[in-house]
Amino acid sequence: MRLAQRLVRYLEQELHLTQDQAEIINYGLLSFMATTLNLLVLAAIGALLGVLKEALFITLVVMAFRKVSGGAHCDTLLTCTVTGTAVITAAAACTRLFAAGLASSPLFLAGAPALALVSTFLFAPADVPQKPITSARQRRILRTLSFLLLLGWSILGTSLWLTKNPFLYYYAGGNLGILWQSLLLTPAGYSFMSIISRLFSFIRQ
Amino acid sequence: MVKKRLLALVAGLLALVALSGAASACYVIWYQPELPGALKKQVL
Repeated sequence: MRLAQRLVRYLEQELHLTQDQAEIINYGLLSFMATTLNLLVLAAIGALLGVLKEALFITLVVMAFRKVSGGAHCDTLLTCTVTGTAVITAAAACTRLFAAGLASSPLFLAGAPALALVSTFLFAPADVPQKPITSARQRRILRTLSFLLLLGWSILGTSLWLTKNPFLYYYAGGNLGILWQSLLLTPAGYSFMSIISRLFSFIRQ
Repeated sequence: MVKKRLLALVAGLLALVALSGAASACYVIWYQPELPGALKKQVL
């Protein structure tokens, strides 16, 4: 993250930025670098294990749902990268191993979005101390977008099921991602991430 | 002059990333950096 600070300082000097502008650019750069790093690590591990396509699709689904619904986070970039990569890779491996069963089970195909709907109804948008959602308008918009996303996801699943589309394989994987993200919206998900963060902090000491 | 324009473009894109992150529930997926005070003022 020192690289980010150096780059922002350089931009600040070259473009004569105000302190507020520099802060905003620093946040954008940190977010961009963290996401890029996470995706690169995930793609590398996914490719090594032969589940790259599944891992990338699940990530895409989790990213879209997470952006509008929020949820628990780890406290450091390292912890987040390791946890996120492990969970997504495990979900991708489960997709590969159990897709035939998952994609043919109407209970799983409909149950996962239904559970996500309950979790969203009860807890979305779920914020974190690093980024509190204080505006009532923003809460309303994010909540509506979360419901719309789940509605779209359910319609996609239904149409794939009715047409027996082979893409149902990836949909089943995406459902695992939806389940994971739904868990992160709940207090149990926050407790789980907190335990993971404490565990990593204990290992680092 | 070209260098300045390129740097301004990079700065603009990063500001866009930051604003999009501030307007959503959390940045994207795993790590959530602390939202700076300057962005808290601009969120919806």
